[in-house]
Amino acid sequence: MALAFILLFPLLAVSSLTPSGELSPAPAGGLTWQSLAYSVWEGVMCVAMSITVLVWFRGRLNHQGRLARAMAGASYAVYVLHPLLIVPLAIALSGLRLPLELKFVLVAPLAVALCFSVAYLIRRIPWVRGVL
Amino acid sequence: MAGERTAAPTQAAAPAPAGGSGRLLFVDNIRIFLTLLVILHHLAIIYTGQGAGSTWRAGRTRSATPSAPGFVQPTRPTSWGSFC
Repeated sequence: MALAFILLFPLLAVSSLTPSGELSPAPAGGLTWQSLAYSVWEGVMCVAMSITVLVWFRGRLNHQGRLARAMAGASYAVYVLHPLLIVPLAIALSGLRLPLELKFVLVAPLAVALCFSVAYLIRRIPWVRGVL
Repeated sequence: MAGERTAAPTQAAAPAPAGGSGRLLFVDNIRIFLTLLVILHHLAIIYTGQGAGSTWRAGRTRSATPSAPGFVQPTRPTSWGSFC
């Protein structure tokens, strides 16, 4: 059921292709059946994904090592600070000419490590821990 | 659900976490997971140029290929409306 619903998305995407192969703007809004279908799909997915994540983590990931504990502690700081880190990172690496998909895959771990490290260090400053 | 405040609510077999901080460890882990998704989502917007307006595009890194709804799109439904 859930899988069927997920698989509806590509169908929806294909159905909104115009004969010339362009993606039509119909699902984006307005009184079109594609828009209705997409809205329903998005709403159901939103709720379903939230519940799935909760249940899945409760069943399988209800434990924590030292790294996970440190990361969880830093997660709010990461959430607040990551734009200040990933945008300069992206600009700094903008001289690097690579296919963008490949670049994303390469930069992603770097960005994650950078964000969590910086957040971890910032939280070691006295008083910061009370806020971030 | 509201009454289950212990670390391992329904998993009778799950060992009690060390430290006994009373934190719901799986919720802590979900926080890590969602924070990771936020970082990756925003990075994906930088490198694909789609998504949240122009806020996240870093000038020349904007993609010319509209080929990657692969990441930005599936993460949308969760929809971050309140999260990013």
